[in-house]
Amino acid sequence: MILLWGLPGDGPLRAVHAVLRSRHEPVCLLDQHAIAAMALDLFVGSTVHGTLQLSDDVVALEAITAVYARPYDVRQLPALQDAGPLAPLWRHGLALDDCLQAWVEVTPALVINRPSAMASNGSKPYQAAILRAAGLDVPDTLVTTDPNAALAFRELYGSVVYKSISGVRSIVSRLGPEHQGRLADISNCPTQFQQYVAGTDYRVHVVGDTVFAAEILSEADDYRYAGRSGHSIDIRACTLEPDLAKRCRRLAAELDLPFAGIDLRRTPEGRWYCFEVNPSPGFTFYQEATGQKIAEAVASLLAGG
Amino acid sequence: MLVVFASARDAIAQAIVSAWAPWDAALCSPADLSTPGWRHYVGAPEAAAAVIAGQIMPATAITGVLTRFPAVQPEMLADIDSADRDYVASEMTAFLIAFLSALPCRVLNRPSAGALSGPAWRPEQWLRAAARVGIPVRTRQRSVRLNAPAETEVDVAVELTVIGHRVFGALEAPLACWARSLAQAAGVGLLGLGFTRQASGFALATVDPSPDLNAPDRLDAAREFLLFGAKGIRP
Repeated sequence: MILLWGLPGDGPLRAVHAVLRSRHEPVCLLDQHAIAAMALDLFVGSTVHGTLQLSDDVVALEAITAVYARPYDVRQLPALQDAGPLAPLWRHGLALDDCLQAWVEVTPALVINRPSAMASNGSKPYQAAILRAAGLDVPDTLVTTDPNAALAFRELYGSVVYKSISGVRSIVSRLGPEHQGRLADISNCPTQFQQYVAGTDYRVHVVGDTVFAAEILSEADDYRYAGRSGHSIDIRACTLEPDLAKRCRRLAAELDLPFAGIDLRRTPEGRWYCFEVNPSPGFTFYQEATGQKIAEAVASLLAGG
Repeated sequence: MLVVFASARDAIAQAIVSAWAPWDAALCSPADLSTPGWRHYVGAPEAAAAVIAGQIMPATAITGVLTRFPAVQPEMLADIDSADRDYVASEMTAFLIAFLSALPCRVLNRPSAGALSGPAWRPEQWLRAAARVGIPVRTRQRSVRLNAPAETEVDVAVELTVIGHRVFGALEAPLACWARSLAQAAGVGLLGLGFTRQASGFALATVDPSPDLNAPDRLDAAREFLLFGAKGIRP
């Protein structure tokens, strides 16, 4: 049995679900909207076992061979928002989420991806150190509360970008003269600055041993928000050099991520930089643009094929 | 300098700093991260700088770290605008994970990707890690359903604290050996363990990667570990 955990409207979850159903794989959906009807009994000691009661099914945990986990923050679910933090449903939602998180950490099933493996993405400079240790080039990075250090860093590289340190999503922006007046604010909170690397962006999805690469053509500093900044974006499937593809596979394996989205940039001189590894890639954005069969690959991995 | 990273309101942390005063100890709270001078260069830890007790210093001047919180909490940031506290707490936590991970000195416990004070493991992960190294464990049961009563507390018969290679508590064999082996498997120098008594003998029931160091002998052991290494010999 393959368990999909999340919201049925989530693009990646929906895409993988559709492939699994079309292949008649045994699959069940843990729809977070139906959290009130769910129950979980988990036993962990020398073995791991238990039962998961869904709204229309009861599943033995030991019968689950693979999990695709894309849960949303339960506190943001409409049902919990309506109920409020003092309601039994709120406590139930948090307890169920915590118990499921515990189970996916210890189950022998294949999990895409375990929370502990995803955690490195919660500290970008921490993950960057791992990327460097894995032999990948990462842009020189400074995290500081010192405006003078930030200015000296920009002086050194000519152009730098700033972005959040944590997993909180932020728009990558170039540090310009218009920020000069606000630079003193960084003394309130450490801020991450990174050498600006000119070049072409690539998104590489590693699914088990399969590598899908896409070239992203955009003039935006952060192509994910190209439309907002008035820039165009063009995404095309491409093939990586075998050595680079091998390094991407190895990196995902070292991070214990069966499925990873790796952000690379190739400079005009042909040097590759790695920016980060996304442990829960919203791959449908790239799949729709390139026609790459990423959902099929994820489904195959889950099905053990 | 020994640095204790803790909430400014952490009375135990303040007591530790006082006890370690002869060895040049200072408290660093999240509010200290809202001070100009912190620098962390990825891949160049020797160039890092910290602001401890109001003084900017090279990170290499820090000779040992004890961390007493798994994450910076918004409520620790009274001087930050309330609308920004959640974000700033996340950013400070992410910064400290990178900064403390890169320090060349000893850190109790060195951060993991998910927590400042060691592995961000749930109780079930600790039990599975213990079972893998041959420690008998008490099966943990969770039963989650709407309107179900809260879980009952586990009765712990024996509590142990691992600090480096030393183990404190009721040292009934082979508990100390088990405690050391779990700490080693988890890669931590500081660990609290609680064992229950079952018909077949002791079984591990609870684990705390940030146990209190509330006795002079434990404080001494932690200080010696930070300054001189696991066996009291400077490595």
